[in-house]
Amino acid sequence: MRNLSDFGASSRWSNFSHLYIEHGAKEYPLTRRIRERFAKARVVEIDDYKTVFARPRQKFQAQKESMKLILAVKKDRFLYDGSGNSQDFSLEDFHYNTLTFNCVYNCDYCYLQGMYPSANIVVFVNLEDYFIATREGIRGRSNPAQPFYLCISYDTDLLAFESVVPYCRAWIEFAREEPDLLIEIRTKSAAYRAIRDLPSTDRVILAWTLSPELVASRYEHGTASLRRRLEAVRSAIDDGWPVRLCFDPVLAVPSWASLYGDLVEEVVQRIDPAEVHDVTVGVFRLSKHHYQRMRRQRKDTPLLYSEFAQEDTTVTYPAERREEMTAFMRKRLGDHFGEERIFAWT
Amino acid sequence: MPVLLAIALHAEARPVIERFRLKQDASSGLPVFRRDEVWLTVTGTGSMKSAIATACLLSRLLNRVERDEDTVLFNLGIAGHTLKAEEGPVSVGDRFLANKITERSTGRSYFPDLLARTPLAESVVTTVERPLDRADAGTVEPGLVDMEAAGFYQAAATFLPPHRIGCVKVVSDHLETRRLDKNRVSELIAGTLDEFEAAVEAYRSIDDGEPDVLTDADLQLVGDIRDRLRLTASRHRMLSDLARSYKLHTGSDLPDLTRFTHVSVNTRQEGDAQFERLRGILSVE
Ligand code: SF4
Repeated sequence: MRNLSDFGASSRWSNFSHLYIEHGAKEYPLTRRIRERFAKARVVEIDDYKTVFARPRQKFQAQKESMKLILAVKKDRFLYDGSGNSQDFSLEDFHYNTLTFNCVYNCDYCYLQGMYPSANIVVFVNLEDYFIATREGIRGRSNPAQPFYLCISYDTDLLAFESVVPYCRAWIEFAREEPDLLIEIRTKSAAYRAIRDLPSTDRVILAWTLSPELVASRYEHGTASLRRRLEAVRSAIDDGWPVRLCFDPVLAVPSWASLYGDLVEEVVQRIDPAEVHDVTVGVFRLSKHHYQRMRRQRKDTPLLYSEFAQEDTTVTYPAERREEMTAFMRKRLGDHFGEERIFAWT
Repeated sequence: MPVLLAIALHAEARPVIERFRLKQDASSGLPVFRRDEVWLTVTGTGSMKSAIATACLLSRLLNRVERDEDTVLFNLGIAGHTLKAEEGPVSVGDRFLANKITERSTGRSYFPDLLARTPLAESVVTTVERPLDRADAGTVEPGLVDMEAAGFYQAAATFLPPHRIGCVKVVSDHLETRRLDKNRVSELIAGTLDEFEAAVEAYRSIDDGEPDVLTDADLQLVGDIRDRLRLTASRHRMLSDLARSYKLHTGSDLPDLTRFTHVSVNTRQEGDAQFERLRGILSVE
């Protein structure tokens, strides 16, 4: 057979070459916006996103290099209870939502590989339904003395996708109208500029996951470099936003102590700890089910072939290693931020 | 790297057989033609026949190859188009890659995964049980109408990931119910073969994205040790993962483990002891 190059084509579609659009999603403003943005994309109409997203035998990493966009209407479950694998900041009403499935980035350790059958990105376009459910959640929260805490970038990196799906902006505006709401937007991007024109509010915490540059470049594919993340942090603080720094996951890579120790030093040199809202720490962990599925697909990353222990349904480093790493991070961070602002997953 | 082709009619298959210089394979009950890595089966008309022949070919071939990661499978054939001849941009001889295949009888749709970039335009294909009249063109989604794609796709998707299944259709008519001359059918298919070949080549260039740090030789070695030490499936998996961990963390090749392919074990305890030795050698913590 002849070579494809004879035909002058590259052999793989770029990301978002195709838009799969549910019939019911066609008329939403976001759908129209995305169609305009990707005017050259081939459009395929579908009845239900699951017929594309949940096909059997899809290959997550093959799809990662040519992700498609699936625009859908979410029918139910607009709020989930926070998982035990996350810090809850002592807030009783801790929730997250899934405005999209999947992420534009591709971290080696990302549990989405073990969670979803596909790497394609599903965007739920019926934002108003999420707002309604969130208002109900706020009214019905169990502890009225505390805010209703909602992570909107929990299983994804929403800010990284803001130029396509401007949901961070929409939720920040929504939070302004809801005095009892506290939102967290977590990112590994430098896309703060996409929302920089908005006035800050203390109802939205902007959270940056920080990793040593070696970890970011080697294992967090597509994400912003440490330097650019810190520049974005700097800008957000200067603009008055509450900023959370997340040292999570801390990975047991070779020389982890010196890498993560240096990371803390670099951060405090660039960012005044007094200006940081709080800090989270947690070693690498994921559910057993996701871990097993990831290992079947990923036979090429050392991160999944470390020594692990299973505790209940969570897979993480053995207790001794975990405690050593957490204590190390707490100590290093505590020297600068004070224990009371550090929230650790242990 | 096998390329499998499921084609309904002899008249459609003939130019493909000539192009790839395929020879009839007498060892099969089905009409199968092959040369080297290219296999073609003539399925007969209709969704059911296409599904049966496709499944037969796949089950026969995938059993033979240890890793099926390279297999791509295509359906190629003629189809009607819902647009009237004078209505629009689609003409007889135009060819399309299916991006959605709807089975009219059930209303279900299937979606080949379009990772490979091909020179072909794309279209929806609706599979019907009997030829659709022009008067009924409005009862299906605008696009192509055929009689095999849905059966073919369902059979194929039982075996292969959706990015290695392709369906290419050449417009033969605008749903006028006239019989097509066999030579005309062959001509239409022949006219599409350059693009079809390019599409096949593009599909072949996309792997599953699941690289293994263990080479074929490493896997062979681990398999030999399994046989020698009579390891259970779960021990075999553990050994493979220990070997992966070793390579990933040290960045080096596996240490010399050939002695474990010569030892003899008579009891389970002896096997366990050897396994522990292996674990010690491969441990990187
Ligand atoms: S940024 Fe988060 S959600 Fe995105 S790939 Fe990385 S770990 Fe996964």
